[in-house]
Parts: sequence; C-alpha cells; structure tokens
Amino acid sequence: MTAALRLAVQSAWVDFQEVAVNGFLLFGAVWQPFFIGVTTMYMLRHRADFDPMYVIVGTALSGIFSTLLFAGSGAISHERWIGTLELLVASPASFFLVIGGRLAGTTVFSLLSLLLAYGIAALLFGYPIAIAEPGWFAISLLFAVAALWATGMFFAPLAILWRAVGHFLLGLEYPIFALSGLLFPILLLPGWTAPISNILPPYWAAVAMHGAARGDLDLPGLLRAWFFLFLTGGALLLIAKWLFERVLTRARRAGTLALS
Amino acid sequence: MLRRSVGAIELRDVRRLFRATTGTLRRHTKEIVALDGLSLDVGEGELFGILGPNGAGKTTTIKVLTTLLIPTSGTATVMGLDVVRDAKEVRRKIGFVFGGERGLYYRLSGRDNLRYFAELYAVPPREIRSRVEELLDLVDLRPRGDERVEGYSRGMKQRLHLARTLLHRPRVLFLDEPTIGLDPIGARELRRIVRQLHEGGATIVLTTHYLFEADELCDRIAVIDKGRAVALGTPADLKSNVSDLSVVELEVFGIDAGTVERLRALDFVDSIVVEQRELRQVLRVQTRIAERAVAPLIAAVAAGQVGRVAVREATLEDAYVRLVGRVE
Amino acid sequence: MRIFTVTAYYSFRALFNWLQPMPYFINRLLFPLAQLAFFALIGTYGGSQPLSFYLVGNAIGTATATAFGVSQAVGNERQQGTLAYLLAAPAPRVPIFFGRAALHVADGMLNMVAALAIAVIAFGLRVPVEGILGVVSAMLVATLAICGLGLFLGALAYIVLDTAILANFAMFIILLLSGANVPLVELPGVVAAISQGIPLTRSVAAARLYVGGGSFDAGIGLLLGDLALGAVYGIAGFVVFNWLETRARRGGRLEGV
Repeated sequence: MTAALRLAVQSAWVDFQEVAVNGFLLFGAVWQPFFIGVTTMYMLRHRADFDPMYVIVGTALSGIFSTLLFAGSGAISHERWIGTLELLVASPASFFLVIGGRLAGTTVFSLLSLLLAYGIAALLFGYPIAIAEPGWFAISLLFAVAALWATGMFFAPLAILWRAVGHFLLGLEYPIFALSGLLFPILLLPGWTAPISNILPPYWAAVAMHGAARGDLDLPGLLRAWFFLFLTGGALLLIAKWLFERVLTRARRAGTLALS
Repeated sequence: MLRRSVGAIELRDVRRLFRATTGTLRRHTKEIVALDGLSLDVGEGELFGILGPNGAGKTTTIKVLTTLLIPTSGTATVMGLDVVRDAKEVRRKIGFVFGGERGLYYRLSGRDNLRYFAELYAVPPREIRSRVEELLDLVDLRPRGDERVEGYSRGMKQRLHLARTLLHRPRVLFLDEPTIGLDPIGARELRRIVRQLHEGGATIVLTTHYLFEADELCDRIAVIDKGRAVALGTPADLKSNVSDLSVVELEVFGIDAGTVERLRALDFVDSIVVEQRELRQVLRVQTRIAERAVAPLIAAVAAGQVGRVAVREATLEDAYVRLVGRVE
Repeated sequence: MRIFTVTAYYSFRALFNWLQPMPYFINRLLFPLAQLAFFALIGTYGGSQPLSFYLVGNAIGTATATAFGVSQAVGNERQQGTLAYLLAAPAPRVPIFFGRAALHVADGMLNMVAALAIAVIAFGLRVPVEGILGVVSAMLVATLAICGLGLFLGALAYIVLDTAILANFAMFIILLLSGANVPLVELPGVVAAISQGIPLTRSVAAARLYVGGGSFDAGIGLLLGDLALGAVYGIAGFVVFNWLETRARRGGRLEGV
C-alpha cells in the first residue's frame, strides 16, 4: 500500500515538473479561465443578487475541468510520444497508478484556476469576497477536485480507445460547462438535459461549492451533493480501471505501444 | 563461458501478425507476418545474440519476450513464466533496453530518472539511494547525475538506460540494438559493461546489426530472416558453415549492374556483395576456389577497371550473407 | 489562379485528412454551437442585455474558429517540415499564401450559418427579412477579417508560440473585447481602444444593427472597416512571412526561429 502511494506521489512529482512548462496546460488552467472569468463577471454583475463567489467557483471549476480534460485525454499518448509508454507498461508497477499519479500532479497544478478566479474578482474588479461556509467549502473543494481527477482518469484510456473519440473529447468543454451549471443554473436548459447533468461530477461539484460559498444549501443538501460526487466520481474511476486493462491488452495485441 | 541449463527463455512456434490499413476512403487491410513460427531456446547465464536484416523480426521477438506484444499464436516463456498469462511476474524478473534516445524524462536529472524507475520496479525504498549511486558508477555517469537528461549525449542516454534496466537486479536482460547510433568509443564502453554483466551471471539476449559485435560478445547466435530462424549456433559453428568459402575482394571503378550479373552467373561464384565507397565499388565475391578465382574474375570485369585485389578467409559476416543473401 | 486553388485544396485536405464526416460535424459545427449556447445562457442569467444581443454576438463570434484553422495551416508547414521545400519552390508567393485561407473562408461561413440557424431555431432569434442581406454580409466580412488575422498569427507563430495557443488566445481576446458578450461601453478606456483594432468588433455591431432592423447602408461603413482591418492583418502576415524567410535564408535556419 505504501509502495503504491510512493509511486503515485513520485508520478505526480514527475508530472508537475513537466506540466509547469506545458503551454497548453497553462492555457487551460490559467488563460482560458481568465477570459471566461472576466467575461462572465461583466455579464453577471448587474444581477440584483450578484455574488462574485459564484463567478469564482464557476470559473475555477471550468479551469480545473478543462485542464484535466486536456491532460487526461493526452496522458497515455504523451507517454507514447516521449517513448516511455513501453517502459511503464513493461514494468511491474501498475500503469493505472502511474497515470493516476500523473493526473494528480496536474490536478494540483489546475488549482491555479481557483487562485486566478479569486484574483480576478478581488483584485481586477475589486469586489469583497466572502464565503458563507468556509469549512463546508473546503471539504466540497476537496471532494470536487478528487471527482474531477477521477474524470480525468476516465478520459485517459477513452481518448486512445478510438481515435475519433479523442478528437470528440476535446470539444466537450462547453457542453459540460453548460450541463454542469457552472456559470448559470441548469434550470435554464431544457428539462430533458437534467438526467445528463445528474451523472456529471462537475455538476455535483458546482452544486456543493456554490452552495457552501453562498450558504444557501443546508447540510442535508450538501451531504447529498457530496454523496453524488463520490458516486459519479467513483463510477468513472471503476470504468477507467476496466478501460485501462482493455486498452493495454489491445495495444499489446496490435503492437501500438510504441510510435513505430 | 558457456553455461547451458534448462530454458531461461523458450519460444515455441511463435507467430506474430500485424494488420496494416492503407487508404482513406477505401481502406485495404493487409497482413504482415513479423514472426513466422519462431522457435528458440536460451539457457540461463547465456549471452545470446539475434541477428538479422531489417524487418527480420528481431525487435518483434524482443517485444514478445518483454510482454509488450502478445503473440498471435505459439508460446513464449521467460524463467518458466508465460509472457502472456504471467506478464506481471515476468516484468519483475526482466530488464530491457531499446536503442534510441527516447524513453527518459528529459526534464528530470539522470539521478531522478533512476529514482523514479526504481519506484516503478519496487526497489525497496531503503536501497534506492545506494543502488542508484552504484549504477551511476557502473555506467560512468556519476559526475553528471544531477544534470537534466535533455543535456545528455546519445551515448550517455544509452548508458542511463542500461543503468535503469539494472535497478531491480533482473535475472534476464534484453538489449535491442544497444550500440546503434553510438560513436565507436561509446559503443566500446557499452560492450564492456555488457561483458561485465555476462560475467556476473546474467542471461542476456542481444540483438544487433553489427556482426563483429555478435562475434565478440555472444555465446550463441540465432540468425533470423522473415520471422524464422535460419541458423543457430556458436559463432564458430556459424563460421564453419562457410569454412569452405574464401572471399575475394575486388576494388573496381564504375562497374555496371550488367557486369555484376555476369559475374554472379559464373559457376564458381557463390554470391557477390557490392559495397559502394564514394567513386569506387568493392565487390566481395564468395567462392570455393579462393585464389584461382582471381584471374577469371578480373577477366570478366572490363580491363582497366580493377584496382586493389585481396583474398581472405570467410568471416561471420560472410556466413551471414550466405544465410540471408544480403548485408544491411 | 491555378496555384491559388490547388494550394487551397491541398491545404485543406492536408489539415483534415484524418477527418471522416462524423468528427468534422462534431468538431466544426456542434462545438462552436455549444459555445454559443453557453454564453447566450449566461447572458440570459445575467439579464443585462436582451438575448438577441448575445445570440448575434456569439453567432458572429463563431468565426473565430476559422482563425485557428488558418493559422494552423500556415504554422503546420513548419511542423511538418515542408516549409523549406515550399519556399524553395518557384511558384509565386501570394497565391500560395492566400490560397491557404480560401477554403477556410467557406468553412467559417458554414460555421456561422449553422450558429445562426441554432440561434433562430433553438433560441427564437428573429431576423427581419430586410436584414438578411446585411447579416449575411456581416458574416462574410467577419470570416474574411478573421482569416486575415489567422494568416498573421500563423506567420507570427514561427517566432513566438505554438499556433494553437496563439489562435486560442486571439479567440478569447476577440470574444471578450469585440462586444460579442460585453457591451463596449462597459470596458475600461484603454481596453476599449484595443477593441477597435481587432477584427469582428465592427462586424458584430453591424450584424446587431441589421437584426435590429437597420438599413443595409447604415452598416456599410462598419463592414468596410472590418474588411480593411482584416486586409491589414493579412498583409502584415505576408510581410512577416517574407521577412522570416529572408532571415532564415541568411541565418540558415528555416524550420524554427
């Protein structure tokens, strides 16, 4: 168990060093949230019940999700590209754990979005920032981040299972932002989309974090949101584990672990 | 030193097919046979070489044995463990190096790369530090262990790969063209390390293009072509296959294909390999009649085109040529 | 002329040769529409402008995706290592360069038509009959202007950054500063000035004018302005490209600067 943890931590550290200079991930974690945050701030600030925390939470979640979507979809192909995939697969270590560690590193990095969103609201726009329930908010953030990490893990094998899916995945950003109610309530969407929203980890992340930030979600409501975060995130993680096995066996059959 | 005991590695009738698709609108699938019923045995403690031209199946063989490829049919075992069913156990016992520069984390130092791979190979945490230093010493990289790999030369990266592969003290090593692309000194260094490991008792399977390397290092050699073994034996065994042959080397200037074909057709000529060297060509003619071939050969080539002539004994390279018909 | 069409065709094909119809549909149509819906709904929630404001702004805003395609087409020459061969070829430079953009113009128009269709069908946007010509003109101008920017970015990418990152940056700056989602009056002074220097600002204003029932003539000044801006960017791109080539031929490095 400790060996597994050590491996995960080491993988995360390797990833962090690579990621810190990766332009694309910087884009997903910093620049895109910056633009979304500023634009949304302008768009929403005229509301009578406007709370800058709403934009901060929505922007941060959009950044974390985008980063993990991009990093997750590319995780396995990245290793293949730099020639380490074969080494990792042929080592006794669990490949699932190695990539898990990688994405954990990226997840930590993606928290820059939260920092940035805060900076936009507090410094750029000069709003006073108040979190109604800081304790619940912190816990919600932790669970949200874990669930989004699991979502990234789900994307990793999915992206290379079929090439077309990989391209498709990268275009999922805005649909997911919308369906998750990150920056507007899903009530504005047609009713038939509600079940789709309910199976998305980012949706429950938004429910929990928006609720704790504004204090308009009671404890039962929060517990419910956390429960569904676990459920949806956990389900994706299990599917991811299964997909990892399939993808690797397929690659070993087809001979596609290396580039040539 | 030859120590043969029951199979460290066994391949039985291994076939491996690849499917390649071409075309965008109408896709054609064709099957490529990389391994065509390959059978081999490698004993424990042996340094076993696999030779063959490009596309013969050398790398495919290594990838099957290192659990990276699943054979289409047939069985392969390493230390008695099946490479498909018992892949995880096999991975604990083997190490491998593929030629080339990739496969390292460029932003990490050499030392950090080794530490990371040590974790992957479940080297006990207490041992990692000392083991990493020991291996950096072995491959002579200790002074530059803290530099980022992106600054390493090709030879250094290869040596780091070798160190990486030894972290968990594997019983079996697979080295796929480890000296390719290295300068002569770097290559010699690597061979020295390989010899050292062999003397320490490791079972090593080495694929190489360089016949002199195989001759120098290996206990036994398999020559494979088109996915099958065409010869198997010690270097001496293989050379004895061509003990009846001599090689006449003719340096010629501006010879044309028609003339080469005419020479090939002579009844005392076994085979001819043409090597281009700038403005001249060197013809290596394998023949059973040695010096007596020289005069008819010169006569067959137009007058004034022949330079240096030499006659020598057949080498492993010539044995190889006889087996696969060409040198690449 | 032939070089122009041939270049355009191969450029487009090269970029999309991994494409089968389905991914094209998803990537080039479905997702820009998702972006439109996303911002339109935020706008609805924010309530500071009528829905049509956001629908028109983001429909025209989908043109920005074209910049991505065009800059990639130019930037890809370097990545694929074909730049050296291209520059050494005897064919004249201008048709090649602008041929790159041609098919992307068609592609961009298709995007916007789809966006507008969604705005009308799903969100109930009303476009007066007399405004249709104006709106279509605004879409065409927007695409052309963005293509000009795309060429400039593609050339710039040789010096500065990855083409994709640069194009994405541009896309967001335009969405923020062109008035697509945020009325220009709300932007602080300096930033508002930048708005005038980027493509789409005028096309968006013109499109809103036409949807609002304005006459075609009323918006012509805006359309010409955006067209001119696009041309300036396109020419700038061409100049940068040539300069880079000269520099590279002197310095002996063609594939990266």
